Amino acid sequence: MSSYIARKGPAVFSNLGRWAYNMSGFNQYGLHRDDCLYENEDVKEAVRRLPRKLYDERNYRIMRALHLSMTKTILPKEQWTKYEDDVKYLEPYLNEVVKEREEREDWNKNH
Amino acid sequence: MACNASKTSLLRSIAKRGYSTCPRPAGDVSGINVKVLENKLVVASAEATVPVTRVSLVLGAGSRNEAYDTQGASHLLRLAGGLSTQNSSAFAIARNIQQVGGTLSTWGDREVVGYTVTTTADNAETGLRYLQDLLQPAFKPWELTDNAKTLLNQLEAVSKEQRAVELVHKAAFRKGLGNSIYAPRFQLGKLSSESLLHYVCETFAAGRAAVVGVGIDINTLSGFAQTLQFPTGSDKPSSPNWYGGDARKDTAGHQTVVAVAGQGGAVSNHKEALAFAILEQAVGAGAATKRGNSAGLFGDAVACAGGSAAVKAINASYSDAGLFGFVVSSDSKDVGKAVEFLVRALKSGAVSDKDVARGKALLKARVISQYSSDSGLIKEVGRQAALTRNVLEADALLAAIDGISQSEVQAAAKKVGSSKLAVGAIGNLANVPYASDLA
Repeated sequence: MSSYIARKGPAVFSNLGRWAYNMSGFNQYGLHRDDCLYENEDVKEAVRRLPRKLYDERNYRIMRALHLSMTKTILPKEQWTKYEDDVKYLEPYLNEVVKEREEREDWNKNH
Repeated sequence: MACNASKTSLLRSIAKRGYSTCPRPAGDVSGINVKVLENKLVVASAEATVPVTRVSLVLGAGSRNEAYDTQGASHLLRLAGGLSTQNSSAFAIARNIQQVGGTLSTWGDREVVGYTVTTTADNAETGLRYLQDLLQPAFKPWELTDNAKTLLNQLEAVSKEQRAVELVHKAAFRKGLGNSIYAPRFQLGKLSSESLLHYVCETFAAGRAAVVGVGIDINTLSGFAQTLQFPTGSDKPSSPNWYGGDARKDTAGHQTVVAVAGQGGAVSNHKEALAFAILEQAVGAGAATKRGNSAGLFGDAVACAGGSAAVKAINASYSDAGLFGFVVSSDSKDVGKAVEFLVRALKSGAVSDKDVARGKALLKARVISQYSSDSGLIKEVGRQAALTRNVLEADALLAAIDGISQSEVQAAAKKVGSSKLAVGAIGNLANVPYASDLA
């Protein structure tokens, strides 16, 4: 669906952002930012709503990262996720889930 | 968004009615106003003073519009009546309507899908606020998969009689009107939200829709109807052909249900449709007493055949075609004889003046009872407005029934008797004759 197109790269490009992104290290496992979110109720629900293909890709990246971690290696440098290629694939779904939760909370407060 | 909607009044012009105004006495049939808007949308309202307002959005999205690979779309539309739309979430719809003590229900047949909102008269605007959103459904994929179980439950609850009627439609019309109003099993989970949205775009046309109300005045209702945003929509569905033949489904057990039908009357030919409706009542549209025998031609035929068969006449009038016949349910060893006798009765076309008088009396009683309850009235008005683009008041309809002569009913009986037959059967089919055997 058109409203669920994911943003690619950061919201604002900056050299500081690039430095921080590369320092964080998850990109060396080939992960994207949205693979590393803490799985609270909202994220779990958003992940459940992902289209099959995105869901499988996410699982593949996480499994690969776990395997790399277990073998104490990282990917070759050309396979690292780049700062400008990081896809925020979960963001539209997560935003919707949060909005729905806030709507529920709001309702419970007022009724 | 969910919270303030129940407090704001979007349609301030709704005339407030207090309970001090004397409500309409039960059984009193109120006048019906009809308006056609510029975009060809029909607005009809029975302006009775009643404590409960009902408004229905009737869309020409019934199962006859489905293509082969979108079969079941209209069933999903009914299922998705309470799910998220593009403007409001499922949560907001459910809670806001519940908060004012209202209900939102969906109904449908081969021609139309209807959404009805029922609220107390002073909260009508809350209901209308969410009714208008239903024109832009969202069909979120996860909501559809979450409701797959409900869909399956609904399919499990379909009776064998109903499935036999679906099968006879399939045999008679093959596609279009032959599509079942229930989603076929092979389509469960197969209809994507994109194909559903496409179906909505094609069928939600103002020229095929109607907005009808009971207990709301016509100016308020047409004001509401004018704000509705219809997707472009397309023309009428292609006109159906009558094929006839067999559609059979074997299942375990001893029970058999067989539906046999010939060509009936279309709504477009009003007199013929009424003649078929009279004929249905005359030959036996069910027993008048509980567990009693059905009177008329079909009841007699079953009694002659012996055994333990139960028969009911079926008469379905669609906008440009119709179907008339019977559905008989029996033990598999008795069903062959019962069907043989009933088909002979169907083909004989024998209708006496007594039969016609009884048929008229029964039909008039049914029409009056349909018109005198608000829930019956809204559906009746909705169907008429969507199919014929006009609504007949009860008096006019009763006068039209009286105006049908015996020869017109006999002509109807001749028409169905001489038509190619369609046979839909489900259950133990050991003794069920094929359509070619019945010719």
